[in-house]
Amino acid sequence: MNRAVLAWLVLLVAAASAAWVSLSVGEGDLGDAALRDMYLELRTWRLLNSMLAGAGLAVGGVLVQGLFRNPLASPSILGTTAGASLGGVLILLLWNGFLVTRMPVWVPMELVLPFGCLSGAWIALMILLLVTGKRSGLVTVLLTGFILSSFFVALGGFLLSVAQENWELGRAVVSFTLGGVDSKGGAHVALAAPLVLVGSVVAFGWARHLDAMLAGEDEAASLGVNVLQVRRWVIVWTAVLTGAAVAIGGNVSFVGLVVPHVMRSYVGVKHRALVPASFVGGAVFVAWADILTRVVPAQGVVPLGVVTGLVGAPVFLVLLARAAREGRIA
Amino acid sequence: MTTGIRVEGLSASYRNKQVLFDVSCQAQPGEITALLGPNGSGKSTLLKATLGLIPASGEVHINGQPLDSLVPAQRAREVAYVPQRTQLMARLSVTEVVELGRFAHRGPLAVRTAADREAVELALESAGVASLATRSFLELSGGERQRVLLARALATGSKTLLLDEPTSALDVRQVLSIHGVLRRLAEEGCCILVVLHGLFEAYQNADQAVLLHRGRVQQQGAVAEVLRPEVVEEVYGVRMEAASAWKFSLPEESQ
Repeated sequence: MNRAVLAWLVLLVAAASAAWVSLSVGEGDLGDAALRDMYLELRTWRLLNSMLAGAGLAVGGVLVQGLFRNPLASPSILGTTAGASLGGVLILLLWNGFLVTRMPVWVPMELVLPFGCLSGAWIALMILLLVTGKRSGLVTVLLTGFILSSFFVALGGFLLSVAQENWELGRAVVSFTLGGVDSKGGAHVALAAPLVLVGSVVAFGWARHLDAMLAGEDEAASLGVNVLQVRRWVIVWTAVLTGAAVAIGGNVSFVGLVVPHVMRSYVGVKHRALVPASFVGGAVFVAWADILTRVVPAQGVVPLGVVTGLVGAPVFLVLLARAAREGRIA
Repeated sequence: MTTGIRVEGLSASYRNKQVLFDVSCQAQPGEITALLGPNGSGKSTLLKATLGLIPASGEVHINGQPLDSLVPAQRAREVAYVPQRTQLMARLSVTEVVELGRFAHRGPLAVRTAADREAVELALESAGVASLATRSFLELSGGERQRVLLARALATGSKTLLLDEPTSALDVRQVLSIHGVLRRLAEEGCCILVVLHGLFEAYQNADQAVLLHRGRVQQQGAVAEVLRPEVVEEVYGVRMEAASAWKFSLPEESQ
């Protein structure tokens, strides 16, 4: 059987089983007829939020990997996720009357959070591009991303310690920073779904441009690609996708790295196949990661980002080792 | 209408250093024009400025049209580029690489048309790589890759080809095969401007030559006129003498 067909079959089976398991596993007893509908509704929103976050991060990963022509790039490694998370924390504080008191606090938090995250993601990407310039090598890009990420995390930590004065707010900031789709409802889905769906459709529409960019910017330009325009839009839509995903899932790492990489080896490098496969693959990966957070025996809740990190970090190390062995790191 | 490439008063910088000074030259259809000069004389910069890949002052006309009047897709249909070494490191088949040449002919969501398929097949055939169509690009030898990149340039449908040292890393057989393809294309009316490193290679294969020295045109004209001992000595600092030399050619059946 064709590898791409096999991959799609596996993806669909994994998506269906994730949906089924996600609805049947978790706190609360579905046998209780009085509460059954409520549990199912909560779990449905949770499932949809996890899938949207995964899809957004994975397609964002495809976009930045295309932009940097580098399979080791991803929103979390480049500091984009951390930037989005910091943007989210900032807006959380602002909206709760912290720092500035004259905010229109009657606007619900769910509505403004994605825009905080989106702006954070966009600013993080712009700083990265300003520092690394147009023709930086792999190491420069990865190191800059690492440093940006650490910086944003440190800033977030500082904000958290300031926010601790207000216990409720401190808790909200911690819960947002750790990530997770528990307690995320329909409002989150309604806000993130359009951003993730439109972002993914746009990425699909740019497929041919991204294919041509595989040959480098000069060659792509000689083939008729408007390289500047592609760079600009890729940055905007990566920020949208990452921002939306972080707004509903928090700082969920490595999805944008692992999913496109695995998909590429099954459906190939052409973006018309890679974008939809990564969309579904990301949704399935995070949905299963969220299921794991519920079934792993632990005191309290295991954060979603911890599960994706435990899977993603080793995969990243393997890829990095392979790149070094093949002499692709310069 | 004027056809081919006409460059007038072109100046360009690379990494904050001026590399080209008031360069004027041209290349005609039906001919192979070699772009020559020592290392650092500005050959690749001139090629990239002619393609509009780097900013430059002065005028470039492609088939009679000013370069700045063309949007990227129009430009790609008028002039095609074969880089010295491709940056393409993705797992694509030879056909998929050549299909990239059709980029400028399709709308944003348009699917492959019969015209696209035909152009790709013709390009594979012309560059002599039809037998490699289903192979992975990354598995090919240097010479095969270069011919696939030539096929990608041909798939753009443009009759003006700019090549940057396409033979620099190739063995003698591969070099002859590339020049065989270029000669046939010139005979079909293509305008070919090719950066070459070897003077003997240029002498054997080109019709015209443009010789650059420190960012300026030192000589241009028929290749035998340009490559005279006194010119070569001035530009390269070497003595050139006529001598009997080896001559290489491909056996009949593999041409």
